[in-house]
Amino acid sequence: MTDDQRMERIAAGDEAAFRELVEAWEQPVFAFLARMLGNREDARDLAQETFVRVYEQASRYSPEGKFRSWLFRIAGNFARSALRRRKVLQWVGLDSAQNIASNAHESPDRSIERDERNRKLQAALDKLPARQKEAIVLQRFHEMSQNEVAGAMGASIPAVESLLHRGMQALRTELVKE
Amino acid sequence: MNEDNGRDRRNTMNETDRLLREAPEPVLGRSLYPDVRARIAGRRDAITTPFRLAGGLAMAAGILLGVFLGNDTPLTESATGVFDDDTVALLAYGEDETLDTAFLSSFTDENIR
Repeated sequence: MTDDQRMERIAAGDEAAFRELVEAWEQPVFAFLARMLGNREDARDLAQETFVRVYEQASRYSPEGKFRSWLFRIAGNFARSALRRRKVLQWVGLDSAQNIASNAHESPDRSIERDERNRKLQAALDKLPARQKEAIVLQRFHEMSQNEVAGAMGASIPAVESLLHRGMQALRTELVKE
Repeated sequence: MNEDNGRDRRNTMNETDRLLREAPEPVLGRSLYPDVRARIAGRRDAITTPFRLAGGLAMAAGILLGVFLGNDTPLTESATGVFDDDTVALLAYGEDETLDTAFLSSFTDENIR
């Protein structure tokens, strides 16, 4: 069954179709939000909100074969709002940055090395403006085409090209500093 | 000098690409579905509860208003719950009447005829 077909069935009240959809997409949505927010708990919370919104909006979804872009657009909106809120909280001193926790099943040595590289990358990503970070995460980690990234971000393709270009430059600069 | 700068830039680009390529994907662990379902159910309750509460309050207000407007006789006895036949007769027909005498006295000559 395609995602568009699932969405039609969800709109008709099919609970099993909704469960299938959540289980098919929860991992990529969570990974996207974890990279955007740099925090597993916030990512889990907002991934749940994303699927609640999918359920609520199912009847308004138009099946044009662009489900992934639509889904990541919802998740991206939540992520950007959370980052804005966090900025305010950091400004008033009520929030501190947290890293994504490591995979607990790895051996300690590998885990430490991997954690260190990941921490470095996440710290550099967290310094980018939200939209540059979003474009990079979608393209690099979710292997989206520029066209798809544009759909997911509600932006034009030239705007996405520019975000990616400037984002990668800024990321390299940040990684050198780290 | 320019060659060095170019090489440094290429190295940084390669290192950035490598970090991006090799970064492990954050793993979710247990499924989100039960929590998502619970949130949806919670939202539904959150929406319907105020309506139910408002409905209940409106009904209670309606009953109170009805009692207030309908109560145009001083029913002091209602406080003690005394509503025997004599009380009804007293309220309806005045002193020295029981419900039976009040009933009989309501048959005037005209009624009998």
